[in-house]
Amino acid sequence: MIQVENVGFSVAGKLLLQDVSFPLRAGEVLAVCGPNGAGKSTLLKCLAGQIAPATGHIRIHGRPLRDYGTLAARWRAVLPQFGAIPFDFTVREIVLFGRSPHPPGNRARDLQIADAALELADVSSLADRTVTTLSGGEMQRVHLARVLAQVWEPAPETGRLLLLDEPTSALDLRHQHLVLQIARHWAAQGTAVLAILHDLNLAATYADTLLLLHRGKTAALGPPETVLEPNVITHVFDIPVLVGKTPHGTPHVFANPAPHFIVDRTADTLG
Amino acid sequence: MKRIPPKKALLVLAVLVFVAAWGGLMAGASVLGFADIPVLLGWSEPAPGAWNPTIVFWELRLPRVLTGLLVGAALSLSGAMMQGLFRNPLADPGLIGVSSGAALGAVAAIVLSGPLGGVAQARLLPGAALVGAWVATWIILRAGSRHGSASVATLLLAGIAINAFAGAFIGLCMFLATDTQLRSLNFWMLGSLGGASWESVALLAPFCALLFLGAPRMARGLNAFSLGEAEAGHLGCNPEAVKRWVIALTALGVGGCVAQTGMIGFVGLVVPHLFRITVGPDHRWLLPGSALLGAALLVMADTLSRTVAAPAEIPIGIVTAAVGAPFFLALLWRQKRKFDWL
Repeated sequence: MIQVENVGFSVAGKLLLQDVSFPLRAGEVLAVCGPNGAGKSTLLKCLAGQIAPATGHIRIHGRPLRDYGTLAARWRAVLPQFGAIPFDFTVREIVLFGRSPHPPGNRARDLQIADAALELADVSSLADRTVTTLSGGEMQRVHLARVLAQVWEPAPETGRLLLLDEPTSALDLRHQHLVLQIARHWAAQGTAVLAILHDLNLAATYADTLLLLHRGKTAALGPPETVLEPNVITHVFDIPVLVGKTPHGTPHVFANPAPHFIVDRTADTLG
Repeated sequence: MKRIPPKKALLVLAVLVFVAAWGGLMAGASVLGFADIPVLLGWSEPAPGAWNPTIVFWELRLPRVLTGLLVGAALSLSGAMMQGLFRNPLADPGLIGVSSGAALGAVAAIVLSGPLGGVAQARLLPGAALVGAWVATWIILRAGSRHGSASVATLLLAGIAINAFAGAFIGLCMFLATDTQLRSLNFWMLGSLGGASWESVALLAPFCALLFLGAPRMARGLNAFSLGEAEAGHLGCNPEAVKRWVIALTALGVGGCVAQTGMIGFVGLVVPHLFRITVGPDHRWLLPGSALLGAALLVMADTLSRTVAAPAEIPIGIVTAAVGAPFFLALLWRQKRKFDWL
């Protein structure tokens, strides 16, 4: 159980995040959505322990997050947005790095976990390739396999936390769904998952809870059905939308700009 | 290309170090052989009227080969760690200005400590070179890194600036120097093992010992660093601690070496790269492997530099640069095609 309480962060006088609060439960998939610069990545960095919130607290089982120190890497994994690697490691070597926070000694087990993670992320055919030869989408799935290997086994004392920063940004349609189904699968095993997503419809399909950020503040928080209201989305993203339903009953957002709406408005202001 | 298994590679390299050291001890203006060993070890007297190789062996060649081994290992190890830290396979202590920072420190020490006299000066040099190397690395890290990784452009530009500054200072010293001082200053620019003695081995050893003890502890952190600085943190490393330690260790290595042998370029660039393409980039193997390969190659280069034009000696910096510079260009060419983001 993770409690984010009134978290705020600012850089050089600019408020990036202000007064954001939400619980993140074991078994829950929480999608963070919002326009560019809304504070999504800043929030993720706070949860990743990469930056300390300027205000507010993040608690895990009632204890401040920073108390866990570097050992948090045994139960918390972070999928980065950009993952270029400058050296010719093989894909398997990179995935094995995910095992490095754990006590060494069981090499066979680590290899087994790495291979299973590769299989799950649909990159086992690339296992012996060097990472500098991969495409962006392949690289993203290799990093996914790495973070899955990192939190492969249950962590009974703290529970597991999976933080995904735009995990689908470089992926094709099928792999976008694969990644979020993996997230759901991990949640089903008791992991708390937080994913930054730009695709509101993927969020609606796979998330239990949707956090909509707007200029560093919470614009809406709740199940997708309540958050995905046309007027809320129009306000946050500054574009008219229609919200329908998929055949499965989940909300589906259609962007509905009048033809040339955005460009025309910009052109107007330019005179 | 099929990679060589790391343990096998280290074994082969250890043998190569022995072969290179043996060659370095035996070759030279006067060639020694197995037959000379009893004389060298003092078991028998040299044949009457024959040349006695004992002094050449014990007082010149052995300290020189030991210096070569230590410097080759330390520079290669420093290069490998620096490349890991900057997340850039083109970082080299010489190219990015760390060696000239060390030389600047050393030359400043010579100029400022003039009245102290020879012995005090010799003791002061390694410390001053270390500070110079440390400051240079720190400047590059501050100036050249964005998002925890240094672009090749900023690295090399920072290196140009530091090299120019150090060059200007050393040039000024040359302008003011007497003829004898000039010769010793020239030595800083080109690098040479010609001054090696038991004293230089003794002054070098503590620096190298600290480097060799500390470096293996950096392997896991540097592996994590290849994913990125933030990612290293997510894997449970403390990126700031890795940075501090790697900078301290490489400054130790480069500073200690430059104080004894001047600037020997390209070793730190070429050696780790050779190991990476043949064995792989995993720092747990790369660090010891680079140390062994660097030790062997530098002793070979030194043997070459003093035999090819014997009895004259070519400064070893010229040999390493002549081999290293084309290698660097080839690497740059390959890199350019491989990653746009460099």
